Amino acid sequence: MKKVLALALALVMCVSLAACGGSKKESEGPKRIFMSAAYYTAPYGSPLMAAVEARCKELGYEVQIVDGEANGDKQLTQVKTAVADGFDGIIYWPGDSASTPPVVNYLNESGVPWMNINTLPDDSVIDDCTIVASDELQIGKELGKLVVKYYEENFPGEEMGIAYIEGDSGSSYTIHLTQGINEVLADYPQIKILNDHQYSNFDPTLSMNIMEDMITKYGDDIDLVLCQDGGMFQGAYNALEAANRLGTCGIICQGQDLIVKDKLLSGELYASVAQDPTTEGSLSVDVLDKLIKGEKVDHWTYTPTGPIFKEDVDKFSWF
Amino acid sequence: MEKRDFKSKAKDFIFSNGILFAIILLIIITGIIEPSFFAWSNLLNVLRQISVNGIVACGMTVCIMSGCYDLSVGSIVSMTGVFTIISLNAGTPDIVCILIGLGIGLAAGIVNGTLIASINGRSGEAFIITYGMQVVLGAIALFPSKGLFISGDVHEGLFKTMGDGNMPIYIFLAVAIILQLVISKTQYGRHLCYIGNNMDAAKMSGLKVKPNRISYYAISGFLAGLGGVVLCSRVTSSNPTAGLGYEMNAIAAVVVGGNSASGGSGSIIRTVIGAVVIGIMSNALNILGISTNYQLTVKGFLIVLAVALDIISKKRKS
Repeated sequence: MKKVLALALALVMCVSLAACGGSKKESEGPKRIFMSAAYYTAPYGSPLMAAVEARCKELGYEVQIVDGEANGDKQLTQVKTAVADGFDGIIYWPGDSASTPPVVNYLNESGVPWMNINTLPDDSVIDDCTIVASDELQIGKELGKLVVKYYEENFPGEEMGIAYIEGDSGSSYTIHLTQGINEVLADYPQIKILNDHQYSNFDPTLSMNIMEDMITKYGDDIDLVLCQDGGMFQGAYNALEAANRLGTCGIICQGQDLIVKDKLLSGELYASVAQDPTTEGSLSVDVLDKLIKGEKVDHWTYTPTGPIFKEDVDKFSWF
Repeated sequence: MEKRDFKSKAKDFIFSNGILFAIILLIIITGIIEPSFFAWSNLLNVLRQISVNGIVACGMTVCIMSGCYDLSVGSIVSMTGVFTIISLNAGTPDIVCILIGLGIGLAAGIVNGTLIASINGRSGEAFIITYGMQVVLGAIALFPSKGLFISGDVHEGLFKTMGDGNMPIYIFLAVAIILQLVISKTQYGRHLCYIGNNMDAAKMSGLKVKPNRISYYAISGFLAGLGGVVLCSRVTSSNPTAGLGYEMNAIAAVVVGGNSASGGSGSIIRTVIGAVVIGIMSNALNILGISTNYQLTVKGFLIVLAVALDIISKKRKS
């Protein structure tokens, strides 16, 4: 008798729980947005996700952000769960381009409005996506142009050596930035990148170690240091400071970290290139909102980029 | 007969020190191609670069000697750095910031040790518990930093001194010497080997296994905290993922140095050698201008080679 009673109770609880779950999906509460963020713990991710949350709140959406851990398989599972759970829109921030096709194909088949943010999808599916991202190639070209400007101001007609520290081997961001830089520098044979690929995984300590080793190897041949983000800049800056090379060696980087702002103002950093996570996060919600409402959007909404000099710091947000 | 003995001894010597031969060869080749490699300043560079990993690896050696791993050290490095830099930016005196960092490391280590010792956990349980703590502590580091890179408001003083010039090297060497003396010259060190060799036998012979095991993780946590303080002083900043991968680098230093991966024996001197070997290898490959992709391949191969040589050497001896 007790067993039957327990079974009946369990059954009632299951039915009640199922009913609760069902009522939430079908209720007329606020619409819900799901975001799978590949770089949840990256410094760039924090202001980006904060902007997504803030913009969602402004537009009346509930938002749930999960850590995709830059793992394509995990992100596919996450978006499948989100679709099954009845989310009204999905923001997909992939860890790398190569892992995007299964996720993109699944999301398109699901019919749920979705958009791709930050990391560009693979070329095979890029036309099937709505994208909010910087043009990474353009950021690379902007860095290249800054190098050329520095060269023309400081070494006109001479040779100039660059120590170049890259981000993460294999990421589309790193590859495209390097491609953009190389495209610009191809017209300037006097400007030479001294080292082969040196990846610091956006880690200041590793960047510092690499910079120390490059100072040992290339010494005074280094006229300019080029870094792919603010964290790596911090590491390279410390190595140059320890070697008494600040002032005799220019530095250019990409990013809007506070350390970048400080060193631009102090004149120790020649220039940076903008990529604003706050704007990117906010734009992504605006685009998704239009998609949810069935409105037309551009295939690719670009996050603004461009050079930042000392005199421009007040025009940008810093994190 | 004598000839065979000599051959056998030579083989034993080569198998026991194979990694050292490989690294000496790399040093000679690098020095010939790039004479700057032999510069005194470069040697100091290498020692500075390995100092944080070396400090963390010293603590890891104690855990591995006791028969368990501590996978949480990387997150302790991150968390310590974040809290130390935040305290510093809030205007807290240097000494207090350093003590906060060390205290956080020690506390995390004691929690690890207590959890493992209280369930009488073996290597498997210790692996999972410290992995769980790695995730928890990594997440705690995210809260105050909001996931952001934090630049430190570092001025001349005690905190800056810890990462400045050759000070990280001195701290690393001091830690290594003290710990080596403790392990090789005290009863505490002998108990560590007994417990690592056979925990049940140690317990039956009357050793207080639980407090000893807690102390091993406390040492590991404390040294990870010290590593975190030195690290953030060196780069004058912190970020919540700064310690990512430090646990594996520390284990690599212990194993490449020739310590047994299964516990029961070991020496800090070997760990120092392991850390130096890995540091020299990275430095030499950087100076040779070899891409990071190839460097990682060589590093992985070196670890596999070290383990293989250790196994072959043990088999030959037995």
